[in-house]
Amino acid sequence: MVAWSCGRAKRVECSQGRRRVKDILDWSQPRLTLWFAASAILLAGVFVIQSLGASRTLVISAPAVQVSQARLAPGTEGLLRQTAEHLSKMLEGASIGGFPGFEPPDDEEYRRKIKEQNYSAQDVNDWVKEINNFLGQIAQKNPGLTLREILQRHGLTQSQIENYIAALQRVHYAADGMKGFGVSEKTVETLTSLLKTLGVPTWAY
Amino acid sequence: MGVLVNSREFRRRYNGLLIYLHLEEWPSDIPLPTGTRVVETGDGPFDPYWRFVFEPDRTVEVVVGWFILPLPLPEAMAWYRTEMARGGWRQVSGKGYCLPESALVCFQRSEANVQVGVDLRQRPERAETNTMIRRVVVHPWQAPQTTVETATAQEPEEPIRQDEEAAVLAGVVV
Repeated sequence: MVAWSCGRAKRVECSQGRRRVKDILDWSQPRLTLWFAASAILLAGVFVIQSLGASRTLVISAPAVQVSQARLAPGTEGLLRQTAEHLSKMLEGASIGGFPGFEPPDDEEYRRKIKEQNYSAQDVNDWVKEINNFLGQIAQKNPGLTLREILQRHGLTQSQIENYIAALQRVHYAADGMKGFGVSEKTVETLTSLLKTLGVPTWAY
Repeated sequence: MGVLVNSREFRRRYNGLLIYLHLEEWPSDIPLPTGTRVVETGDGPFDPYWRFVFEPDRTVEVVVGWFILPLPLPEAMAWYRTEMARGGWRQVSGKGYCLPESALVCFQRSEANVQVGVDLRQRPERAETNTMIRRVVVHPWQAPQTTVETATAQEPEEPIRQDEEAAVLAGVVV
């Protein structure tokens, strides 16, 4: 009897304990959910703060990488090189902005045309039209950038940039002086307009 | 600039006039080193020219020459700095540039409306400099003073055409 009662008492204890655990569980279910939710929010907060910190670091370091490492639109480098090559044709095969000067083919007449500046106004018109074509594509591929910024991104030094810009200004002025002698007004106007778009100041007069 | 004595080619531009010059007519206040020659292209010499640009509030007079100087770039630059200073020109600071292969030197006179730009480029593989020189004078526009008011009342005076005005300035008869 005692045993039974004892057993019963134990069973009662057990059942009470089970109920308490169940009660606890039942009671704590919303609290656990709340706790998990709070932990999740906290973790998310920490993550966001870390992310913000990281992005702030990026923003702070952005100016340092902005110009030197910013990429140019695909194909721009080739267009800059081709523009330099055509400018070089009008400037006796000189190197323009660090790009290699134009090397005429093994043809005596063509060689004289380049090295002795023995080209015609018609040649100038054709070359400037090519330059217009390249500059047009450069402007189209890199909207909002000036030629100076584009050359900077390409990695040219300050002196090379000045040299490139100066060559364009000289060629523009020479072509303007040949207007009506084989260089068409339209060709010069297009070049003027492209230089304006690319932020290259031309010689006023 | 003196009066042009011989007939020569000139061209009408949409806003002005362009008159070709002989080398001896080059303005004497911008010296050229001995042995300087005019650039020759495949179409012949690129003669200096005198250009007038007519704007609503001013007339701009420009003389342009494209030459080969018998001096390498550093010497050509030094020569121009010395000779222009001797002629009363002052180098404009903050304008122009100086690079190993090319340079732009700008000068002005005490009269602020006269400026000269000397663009120099070393000729590859030669002890010579290819240069383009521009002398720019700005003339603010003023309405012409007329004394024959009675005549204008009867016969309205025809406004001077742009090319006529340029011809008067150039001293030539069109």
